[in-house]
Amino acid sequence: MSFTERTLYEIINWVRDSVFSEIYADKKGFLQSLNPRIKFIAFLCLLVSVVCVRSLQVILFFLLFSLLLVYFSKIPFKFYLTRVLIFIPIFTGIVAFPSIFNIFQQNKGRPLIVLYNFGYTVNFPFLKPFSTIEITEEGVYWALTFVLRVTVSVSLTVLLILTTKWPSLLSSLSSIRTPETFIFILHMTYRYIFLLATLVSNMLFSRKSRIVGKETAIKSWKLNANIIGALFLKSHDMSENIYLAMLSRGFNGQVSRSMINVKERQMKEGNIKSYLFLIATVIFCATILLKEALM
Amino acid sequence: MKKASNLWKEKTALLELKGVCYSYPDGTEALNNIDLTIYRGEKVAVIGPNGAGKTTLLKILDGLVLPTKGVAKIFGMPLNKKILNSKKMYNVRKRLGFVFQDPDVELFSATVWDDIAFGPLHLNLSHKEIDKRVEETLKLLNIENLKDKHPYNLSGGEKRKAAIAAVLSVDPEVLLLDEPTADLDPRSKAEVIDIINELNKTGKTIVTATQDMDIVPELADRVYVLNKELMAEGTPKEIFSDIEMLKRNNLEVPEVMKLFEVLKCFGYDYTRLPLSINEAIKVLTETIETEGGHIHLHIHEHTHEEIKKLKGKYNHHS
Ligand SMILES: Nc1ncnc2c1ncn2[C@@H]1O[C@H](COP(=O)(O)OP(=O)(O)OP(=O)(O)O)[C@@H](O)[C@H]1O
Ligand SMILES: [Mg+2]
Repeated sequence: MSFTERTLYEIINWVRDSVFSEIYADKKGFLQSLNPRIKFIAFLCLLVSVVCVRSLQVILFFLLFSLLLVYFSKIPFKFYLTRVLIFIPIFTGIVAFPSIFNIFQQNKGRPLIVLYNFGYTVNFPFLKPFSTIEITEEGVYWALTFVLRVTVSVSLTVLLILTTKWPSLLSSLSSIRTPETFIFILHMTYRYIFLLATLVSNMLFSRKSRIVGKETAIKSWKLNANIIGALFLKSHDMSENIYLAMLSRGFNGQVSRSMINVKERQMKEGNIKSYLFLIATVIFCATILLKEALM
Repeated sequence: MKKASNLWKEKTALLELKGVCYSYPDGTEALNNIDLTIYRGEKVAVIGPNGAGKTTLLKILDGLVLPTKGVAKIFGMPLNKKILNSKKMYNVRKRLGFVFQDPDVELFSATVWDDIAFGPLHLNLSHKEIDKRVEETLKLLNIENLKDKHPYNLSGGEKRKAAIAAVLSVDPEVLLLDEPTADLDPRSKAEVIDIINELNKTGKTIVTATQDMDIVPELADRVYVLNKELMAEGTPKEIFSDIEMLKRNNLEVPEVMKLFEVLKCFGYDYTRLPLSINEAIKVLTETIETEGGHIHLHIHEHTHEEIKKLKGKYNHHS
């Protein structure tokens, strides 16, 4: 199997084990014991704060906080570190990488390393005129903050998803007045994306088992195109049938709140622990934001 | 029960197709000139090979798609584009239940409970009543343990049962079942067959599309053989006697029937040919009771020859 295929296969398996089979949501940890709705609001506070803060050190604080939550929620550290804290920084790092160079920056920064000095001003389309290529201090700082901010946000989101059952998450969304249609679409995506992902991985496998010897690149791409085509047809076919199945059971085109989750059995009335956690989170976020604003 | 059999005698036509043709938008011709009637209270099976148009036929019977040619009447009302998109259709569909072939299509909610509640919710029932209906349906199919599970974490057979439950909770008069016993283990299969028969006894009309010939005698009083066109219609006994027709349409007879024909070659002269296990038990009991407590099997001069003939008769490869 090629690298991409192996990666794809691994990702699908990982998503199945961690998200869809809800092994972590079933563990008896701290976050799992909270009322989903209150937990959801607390996480919303955390996420908004992470997006708002500017300094690197403060974001590190949030990272620490999320790691503490990971620990107390009985999510294996090794798993969390490798899947979230390595993959996400690598991907965002690639995106943020160009911004450390002066040529992609709006304002002039202090040079950290000068890579090349032209000695004259270069005019390049879409870029500001420059005479040197250098890595700037501000650029590095900005890129680091960006990577860290994304990592912390994603890790908080993953934490919320891992420790909450899907129906509870949906009704939490609904309780903060998210439009029902949006929740419905979100749910449908969640419900079927995995099915289609499994389909792709099965197709890759069956193809591998049929091919003897080495594939030429062109042939391989042709087969990939076939798989994409089959996937498209399959999803089209399914969506049509799902709609018919809904119609057949009395659906009248109206997405109602009760339809998404009639019985919120996981919604125990707010226990004290959940409220305490919410209060603690709000205080934590407020102090940090205030302090930063005053500095 | 008495009421149900009376109703059947009246022979009220519930679903009627006249000269129905259907082609998919890509030009595939799925059905051609179908005339078919489903009467109140009966059990009908539609059998046919892969791609014969069974699913398409059920979709038309459920009022989900319109025939491209011909007339489909549901509860006496001829369907057209206008009616199909009108409010009237909700009341019609309430009385019809369609269990799709692919349970993943049927189970689109977050949990099995929600899926079963989906239908009742759209009947404008009170929450208490919805609760009651869901619990009853869960119990009926013996899947109470699955109610909080997500559809993607279910096994194939569990999905199938949950999908049937999701349709049954609407409490329709007519049940259209597309391969209801596919990927079920033997015990679940027997359970589902029992449930369907039980529902039929309470007056529900059952239409089953299937390729599993073994369940046909138990699930049908009347059988339609479909292969784009209707090839035959009759009681299971009539249909399974016409081996040439079945072979032409890539179909088989129930295994029990084959076995009894084998027994005949060994000298067992049965009074009638059983189509299902239940009938086989009856036939065997009858013979044993009338013939002094045993059945005599032996190899006689024609046994080998007859077996060879029998094999040729059912062979699909030739
Ligand atoms: N959405 C579609 N678009 C185009 N052709 C279709 C579509 N669905 C089915 N067909 C074609 O219509 C014909 C009848 O299909 P149908 O699904 O009704 O058969 P079936 O008897 O249910 O088969 P199976 O036993 O495999 O379920 C087949 O030739 C099939 O390829
Ligand atoms: Mg079918």
